[in-house]
Order: sequence, then structure tokens, then C-alpha cells
Amino acid sequence: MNNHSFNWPHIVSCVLVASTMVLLCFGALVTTYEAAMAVPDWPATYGHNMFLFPWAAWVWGPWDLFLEHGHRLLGAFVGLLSLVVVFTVWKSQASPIVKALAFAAVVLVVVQGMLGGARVLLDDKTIAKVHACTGPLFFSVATAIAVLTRRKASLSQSDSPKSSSRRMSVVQDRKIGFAASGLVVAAYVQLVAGAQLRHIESASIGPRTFQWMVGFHVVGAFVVMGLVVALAVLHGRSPSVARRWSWLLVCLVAGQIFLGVASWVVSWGVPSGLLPFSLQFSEPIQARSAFGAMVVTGHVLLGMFILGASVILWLVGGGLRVADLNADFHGARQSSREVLI
Amino acid sequence: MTPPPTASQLAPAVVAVPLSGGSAERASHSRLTVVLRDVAQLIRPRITTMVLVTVAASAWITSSGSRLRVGELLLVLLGTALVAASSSIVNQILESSTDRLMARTARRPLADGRMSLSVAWWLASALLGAGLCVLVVSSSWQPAVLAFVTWMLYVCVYTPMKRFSPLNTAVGAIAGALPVLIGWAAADGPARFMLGDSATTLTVAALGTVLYLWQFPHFMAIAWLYRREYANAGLRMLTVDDPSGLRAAAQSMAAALAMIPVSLLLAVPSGSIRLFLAAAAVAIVYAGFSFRFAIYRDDQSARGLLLASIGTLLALLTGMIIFTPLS
Repeated sequence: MNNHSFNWPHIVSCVLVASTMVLLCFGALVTTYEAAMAVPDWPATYGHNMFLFPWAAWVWGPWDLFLEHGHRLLGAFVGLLSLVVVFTVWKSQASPIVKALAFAAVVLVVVQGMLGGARVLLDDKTIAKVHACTGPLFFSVATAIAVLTRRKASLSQSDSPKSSSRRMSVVQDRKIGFAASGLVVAAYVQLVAGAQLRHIESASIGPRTFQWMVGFHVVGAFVVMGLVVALAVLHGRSPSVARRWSWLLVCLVAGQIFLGVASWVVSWGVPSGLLPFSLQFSEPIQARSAFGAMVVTGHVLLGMFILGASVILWLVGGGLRVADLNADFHGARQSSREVLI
Repeated sequence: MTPPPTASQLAPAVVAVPLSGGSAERASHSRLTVVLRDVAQLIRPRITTMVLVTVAASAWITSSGSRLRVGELLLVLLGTALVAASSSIVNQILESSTDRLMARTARRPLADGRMSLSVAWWLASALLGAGLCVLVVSSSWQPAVLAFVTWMLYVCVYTPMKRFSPLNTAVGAIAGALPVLIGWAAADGPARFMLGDSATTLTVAALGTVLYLWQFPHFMAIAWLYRREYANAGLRMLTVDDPSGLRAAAQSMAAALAMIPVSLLLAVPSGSIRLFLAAAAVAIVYAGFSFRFAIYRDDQSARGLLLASIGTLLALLTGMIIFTPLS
């Protein structure tokens, strides 16, 4: 790849990540304000083609219509952008892993759009939960593509996993690999658990189940915290990208725990005893004020950003063999084929 | 070019020794055992069982367990088993020359020459005809047509495609997922859909998609473990075309990632939080094993992925049946 030319796959995938962040903000607000049914038809918006819906009615109309229709438009934009990412990645000399991730991103965004439509048409909360779990998954795949489409040079600098692994023992390398993989999984599981709590229905859940779910979410938060602290310690004092990301994650997770407590307080008030058994489930979680809405939505968004940062840390910390991802794939394939036959 | 010797030609010729009395009885008994074992190898009972479990799970979900007529379902399963057995036999007929070149399959009755091709053709035709008749009589023409389409896809498209394109897995996976539709059709799925039962139809579609996606990591792990044999036999598996394993790993990863949201949809009709969380856990673990394979691309990680794939499917289907309440 020519270093002076534009790295289009990386540029477009970075735009995709940024657009997805905005899309996730809208999605989180839709749930917070229970605005999902503000537009009861799909894929049309009140009988109009989605893209031809009068913009004045959208921008100056009711808040929940603004959120839901905006969420749909952004979703369509992100879907188109994913196609552009696939096109640029396919045209580049990227590894099959990166191409597969780009393809997976398109599949996920299509599934996500259909889930959004099904959630509206069937007015089904379980589909809303699946929708809430697919968004962060797509975001993490988009983030991975953005990281893996960086130029070869930037991946072979002194802070690349290959060179940093020279400084670290094999055992420590393995520990970092385990912790980083565990962090990605734990961060995603936390979002799945959070989605359950966000879309909970008082009619379909007993108090004991609710307490267990809250307990699971709280314990999960401390598992994530333990993992990011462990990674920060394992990456040590070396001036590596991984070390900077691990310390950023420590700060993000600390902030997330604080926002989690605040979300509970703005929704249900201060717990009277030991968590989670002091929690009495009464109503679905919902923000009661603008401040409460900001806190709850911020908690959801920060969770997604933690997942994205965990994916970055996993990749820059050596989660995939970067050499494989950047090597001359076709040449390597030919030589290994000769060995096999 | 002289064809390679078959396994029976290489084995000591003890069968040719003349026998009498009790020895003859034992010989006929052992011959019967050999024939039964050969038939079992031909119809591949483990694959057939997986197909039947899929059909049963799909029928269970479609009917929500309530209106499922057990006798009718058993007949549908019998018909499906016969068609599946027929497709396995024809697959082995068409692949007998390549099976002979792989240690894993060289002892199969057709590759080994223990059974003639004409007998196998007769057996496959009889099983196909009987299976389709059972399906039509026990249920309706819809499951029979779907079973026949599956048979055609497996035998006429997937099997020959293995020789000239690594896309064979993507096509074969369709045949692997179609049994879901057989169960759906057998349990009055089309009629329920026409009556507006969208949630169940969505779940059955999700189950079919899960089965389609599930097969990529599963078969990529197999293709990796037996890549040398496939290469020797001239079969165009992805791990033969790209022995670095990157493309196989990439397809496994992409499919496992896409499988996460689709598996969660299995909880839609029941609205069960337990099923939702169980499906999430299982799908995440499966994705984890796929990523592990992508990272290491060695026999150990492929074996782990293969075991995980079997566990994943069993856990998803079992969870779906257990946590879907009877209506």
C-alpha cells in the first residue's frame, strides 16, 4: 500500500464507528423515553417513504418522533456506510479476517434493521432486547475493522504487539491474552444483562429473578473492573498503546460504576440495605426527569464505549496475529499450499 | 493409471476359508453383523439423528408443544430419517472414488468395495421413495416437497460441488438448515403464519438461520482437521485452497458473530429471560471458540471448536424445548 495515498478502508470504517456512536445515542434515548412506538409503521414513517418524511415535522415535531425517526434515518445511513466499508475493504489487500469482519458488519446491520422493524410491527419487548444486544455487537465489529485497517507501518511500530511481546515473557503474554479476551466477553455480557434490565416488564418477572439479575449485573461490573485493572498492571509501565488504552479503560469502568449507582438512584431511589436483596422491584426502569434520562442513557452509552475500547485493547494487545493480518496473504497462501500438497 | 487397492484387498483373506457346522452359523451371523454395520455406515445415523432433532425442535416450537400430535410427528420423523438416509447413501455413491483416497472414509462399504454400487442405488431409491410416501401420508405434500428439495440440494449440488469450489460449505449449509422447514410445515406452520402467528414464524426462521450459520465454524473445523486428506482426494475445501486457515477462520468468525443476535431471537415467542440468557451465553461461547481458532489455527483449537459446535447446537435446541412453555 502506498503510504502517501488515502487509506480508504480505514477512513470509511472510522466514519462508520463515529456514525454508529451517534446511532447508539439515539437508540439509547429511544429506550429511555420509551419512544419505540412513536412511529407505529415500518419501514414507512406514517405512510411516507422513510427518507421523504417531511423534515419539518420530524425536527419540530414531538420529541419521541424526533428520536425514533432519527434513529431510523441514522440506521439507514450506517447500513449504507457498512456497504461502502465492505466495498473498500474488498478492493484493498486486506486479510480474509478483515474482509469477513466487514461482511459480518453488513449482516449484523441488516439483521439489526430487521429487528428494529419487527420490534415495531410486533410490539415485542423480547425483540427489543435482541435489538439492544445486536447494536453493541455491530459497534465492536466496526471498531475492530477500523483498528485492523490501519496502515502496516503503524502496526509495526515499537508499540505493536509483535515487538512488545519480545519484552514480555510468554507467560505474561498469555495472561494478557486471557484477560483481554475475558474483558471483551465480560463487557458484552454486561450489556446483555443491562438490556434485560432496561426492557424489563413488571408483569413477566418475579422479584427474586429481578434481584438475581441486578446482582449478576453488579458482580459483572466488578469482574470488568478487576480485568481492566489486571490488564493495566500487566501492561506495566511500557510506553505502549495498549498500556494507554488499559488505563483509559480503568477510568471508563470507574465512571461506569458511578453512573450505574446513579442510574439506580434516579430510577428507584437510594437502596435501604445490602444490594441486591434490598431492591424491591416495582416499575420498569425509566428516567423520570431530563437529568435522570441523561444519567441512565449515559450509563448505557458508556457501557458500549467500554466494549469498543475493550475490543481495541484486545487487538492492540495482540488479540489477533497482526502479522497474519498484514502479510502478503496471496503469497503466503500459495507457499503453504505447496507445503500441504 | 492403476486405481489404489481397496482396504478389503489389503486385509487378510480369512473370509474365503470354507466353513462348516457351527462355524458356518457363526460366519453367517458375523456376515449379518457386517452387513448391518455397512448399512449403518451408509446411512450415517449420527447425522440423521441431528436432522431428526432439528425437525422435532422446529415442530415443537411451531406448535408451542400444545397441538403436537405425537403419532404424526413420529411418522414425519420416520419419513425424514428415510430421506436423510437415502441422501447419505447417494452421497457415498458419488464420492466413493474420493472416499477411497482418505483414511477417514476408506473403510466405508462402497469405497472399500464391500457393497456394489447397484445395490446402493437400489437401496437409496427405495429409501427415498418410502420416505416421501411416509411424509405425504402422515402429514401433507409440503414436508415431502421440502424433504425432496433438501435431498436434491445435498446430492445434486453440494456433493459434486466439493470437487470444484470451496463454496460448497455455503451451499451444503442450506441443505443442513432446511429440515427446520420440514418440522415447521409438518406442524401446520404455513397455516399458522397465514393466521398471523408472526412471532412463531420469526422464531422458526431464526432457528433455520442459526442452523445455517452454525455449520460454518463446525465444518471449517472439520475441514481444517482433515485438510491433508481432502487435498489428497482433490476436494476443494477452503482449507485446501488456503492452507493458512485464514479464510476458514474468517468465515467461522463472521458466522459465529452473526449467530449471536439470531440465537437470541429463539426466545421471542416464549419471552423467557432464561432462554434469552442461555442463548446469549451459548452463542458467545461459540464465538469465543471461533475466535480462538482464528487466533491459533491449529489442530487443538479446531478440535475445541468442533466439540463446542456440537455442544452449542445441543444446548440451544434443548434450551429452546425446555424453556418454551406449553401454551
